[in-house]
Amino acid sequence: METDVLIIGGGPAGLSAAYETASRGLNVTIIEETWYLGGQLVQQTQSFEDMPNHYRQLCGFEIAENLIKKVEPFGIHVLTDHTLIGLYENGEMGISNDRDVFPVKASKIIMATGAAEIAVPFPKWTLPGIMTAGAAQILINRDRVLPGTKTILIGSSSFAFELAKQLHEVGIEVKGIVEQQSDIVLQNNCLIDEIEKLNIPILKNTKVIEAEGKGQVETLVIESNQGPQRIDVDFVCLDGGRNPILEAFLIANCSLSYRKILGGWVPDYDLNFETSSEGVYVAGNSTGITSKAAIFLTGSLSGISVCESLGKINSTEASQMKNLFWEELYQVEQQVNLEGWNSRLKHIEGYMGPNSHQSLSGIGRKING
Amino acid sequence: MEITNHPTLGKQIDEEVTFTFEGMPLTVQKGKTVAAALMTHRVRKLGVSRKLIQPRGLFCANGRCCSCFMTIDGKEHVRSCMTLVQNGMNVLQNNSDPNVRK
Repeated sequence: METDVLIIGGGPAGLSAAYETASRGLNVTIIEETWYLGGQLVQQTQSFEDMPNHYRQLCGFEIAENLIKKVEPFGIHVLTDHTLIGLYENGEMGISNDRDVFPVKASKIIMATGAAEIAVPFPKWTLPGIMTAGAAQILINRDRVLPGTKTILIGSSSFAFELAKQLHEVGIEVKGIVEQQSDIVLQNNCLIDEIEKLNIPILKNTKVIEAEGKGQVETLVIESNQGPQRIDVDFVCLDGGRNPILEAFLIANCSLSYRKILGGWVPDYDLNFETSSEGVYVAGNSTGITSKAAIFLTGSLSGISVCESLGKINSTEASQMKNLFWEELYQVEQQVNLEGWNSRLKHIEGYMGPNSHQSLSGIGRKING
Repeated sequence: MEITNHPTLGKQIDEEVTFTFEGMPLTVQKGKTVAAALMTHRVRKLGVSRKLIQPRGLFCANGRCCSCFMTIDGKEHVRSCMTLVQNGMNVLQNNSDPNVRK
């Protein structure tokens, strides 16, 4: 099989890249591990304050529908239930549908593999019923199944608070949001108020001692300065943050750097989102996890770069468009995650050399600290 | 425990599918993964760990952690969170490593 652009991952970043490339006449193939497009947006029933402007009023699943509709007219070749499993000697990608493997020859590759949730280990954390926050959300919103009747959340990001609300709305008793530190991670006061109105306790300075249960979780033992407490639960949600998903980059021999703020090991890339492997680009959360907006905007940026390198757009137009996307990203992240923004620029600088990001003219950004 | 009237997504009643788990027939609405279908029937333990033989269940629901390995239609170590449940599917717990020499 041959294609101009092979996109690995059909989530928001892959679809954003697909739109930019396919709408300029390139032949685009998306491979997607699940049976549907939209990625993690599909189970998001909340809206996000750190989205690009035109998506801020919409829920996650509505944004997914929006994006899928947007790429529809361009005849993108979508291979669901397919994964990238290796690289042939001649540079073709080995794609598998779980039965057969076949080579795909692509002029350019955009890896939009996303991020995976990080486990929060404590004694007996592997008991059935203990799951990631994302898993619980998939169950209630995508698969429409109740994971149980009473739960507790470990971790206090905005995602944990949104999930607590959503679990409550489907009739699950949420016995608390547990945070080991003295401050919760979430900054949004409205969401904190909402959770307090629902009488969901926010348990700061509280750590998890262990889980108990025969064959599945029945009790979570937590401890605060008031002593240990045994919470009767039938499932537990862990909110431990996310890491970029890297297998595809390892297959393509892309170099990586460690950036704690971006989520750990991150593929190296330049201002065009091209990795150390020529013709292999990166988009979305695998460029580093900073804001929801970055997922879409890095997807668009990598797509524009690919169009430019394949001669579908001239360099003047390309640099104008890229500046617009970078500007939008800056506008969002200076409000919600300036640290993430700075870390991304440092990451690019670490790969391209000092002051390399200065070539993004006119936006007036600086690395702070 | 299926959510037929979702507070945000509204009402949805899908066609039913019947599969077997350890020989026991179970019915759910279609469009779910095997792991979610079992969760509907309060089955949490999907198998055991390979070394310490401890119970394992759905953990990440995203095909990453492999905690939900099961034997599906004779194929061992299938991620039950990434496989849509289908009529007549034969689902067994993952209780050991596959015999690769047979």
